[in-house]
Amino acid sequence: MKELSASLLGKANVYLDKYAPDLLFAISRDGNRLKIGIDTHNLPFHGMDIWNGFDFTWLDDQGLPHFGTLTIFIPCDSPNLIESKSLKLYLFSFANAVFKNKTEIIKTIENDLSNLAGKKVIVNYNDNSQSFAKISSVFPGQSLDDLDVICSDYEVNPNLLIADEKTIVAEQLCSELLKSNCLVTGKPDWASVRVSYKGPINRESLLKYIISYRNHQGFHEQCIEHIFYDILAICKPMELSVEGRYTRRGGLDINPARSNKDIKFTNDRLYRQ
Amino acid sequence: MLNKCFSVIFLGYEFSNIGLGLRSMAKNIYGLDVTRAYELSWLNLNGKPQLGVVEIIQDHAKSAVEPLEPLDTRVYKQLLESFNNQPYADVLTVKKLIATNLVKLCPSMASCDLNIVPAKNFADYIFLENQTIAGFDFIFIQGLRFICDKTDQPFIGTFFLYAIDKPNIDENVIRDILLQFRNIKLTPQQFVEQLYLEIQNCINNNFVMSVNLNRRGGISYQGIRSNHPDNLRNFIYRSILE
Repeated sequence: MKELSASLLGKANVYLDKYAPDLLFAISRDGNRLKIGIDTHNLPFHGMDIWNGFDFTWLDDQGLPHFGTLTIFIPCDSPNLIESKSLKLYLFSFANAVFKNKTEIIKTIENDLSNLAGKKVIVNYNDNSQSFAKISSVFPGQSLDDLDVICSDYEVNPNLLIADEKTIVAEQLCSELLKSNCLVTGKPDWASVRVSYKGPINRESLLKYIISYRNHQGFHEQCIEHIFYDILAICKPMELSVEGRYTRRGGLDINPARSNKDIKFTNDRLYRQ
Repeated sequence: MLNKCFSVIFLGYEFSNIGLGLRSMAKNIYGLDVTRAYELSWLNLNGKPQLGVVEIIQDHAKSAVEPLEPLDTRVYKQLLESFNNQPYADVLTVKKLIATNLVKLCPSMASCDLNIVPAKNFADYIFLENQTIAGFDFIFIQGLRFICDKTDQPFIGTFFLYAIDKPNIDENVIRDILLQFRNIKLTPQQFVEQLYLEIQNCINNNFVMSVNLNRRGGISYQGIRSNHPDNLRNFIYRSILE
């Protein structure tokens, strides 16, 4: 496993004109999980990282360009996540590469990403973009964002979380106000987050805790896992799911989802995506 | 119906430096440049984050500068990021500051319309592909591509062509025209204007074209050009992939 400093993050971009799987870069999931306190041999969640690609184009064997949108499903128990800039550059390398048809495209990407992630990755390819035309304004659920809170913590602070032990509810709480910074470049990343749970979570405390990620540096997947872990540890809900929907970087948006409940994750595009 | 009617087109950099030349070649050219920034955020006076989407409309008809100086989106993005951890009383304060600073960065912004759309309202926006504009038929093609002249990163986007009744141009002709740009380095405005010239040479009726580029760095661009000045603001919509 290469060090993160060997990745292309934070360095000048090189856009190759031919298919280049060597551009892909893997990051072990274990490192950050251990830092948070997650038992990497006994994950407290199952889940998926759902990536949507908006800029994918390639050539057929007549030299005609094709365009499609991609959805990539990476299971969260894969040993590695894919560094996003490397995936962006890898997908751009298809632009002047020749493939027979989209079946070959899908197989190629699935093989490359599965090898890197260390587990089977599924790729969906759509010729038309209407699947991305349906937008939800916000995550379905109760928005926290109208709560009148005073905030001063902009570094992750799990002590902000409060369990309202007299109140046990099953509900979905959402916020558009998740922001963190890239682990390497420090550039801002923006997300909506939904917490579905059964248990005692004080709403104002949850919003303040989410806002406390504002100046935190971490990859998208790591932030969502961190949120899951802190809520589980402090509020001890009986059931918990945390879903994040990030805005695009390099034509890709990343949507990590974690849960300790047997649920099916959706891929509903939000208005900022 | 014309089949192949475009000439060799890549005058590229020469045009970029002499917009006047471009204008004089075009029979009529009217247009709007729309820039959308999806990631504006600031703090209210209680330290709680606020969100907004910024839409800037540069109207070529209103500009005293010919051609309009394009907005440098990298500098614009840095400006917007400077609001992230700053407290402001309200969205109007933020709007004024953005406008003031934009004019310092790019004097032609003095004539632009700048609006901050509350994030929730942006969810109601209809996509251009699904919008009916009275009196117009249209065709659209996704996956246009050209290369950023500064960073070498590809721009990807969607091309729309509107005309009263049906646009009298074969869709395959448009695809051939777009294909020629695939690996060419241009700014978004150069791409739009060169494409406009090609389309104008092929089409007889009044038409409106829109190029909606997928966002980069949280900022997207829509270039609207027409040989007719009326009601171009009716075409201001983001595209599905933008």
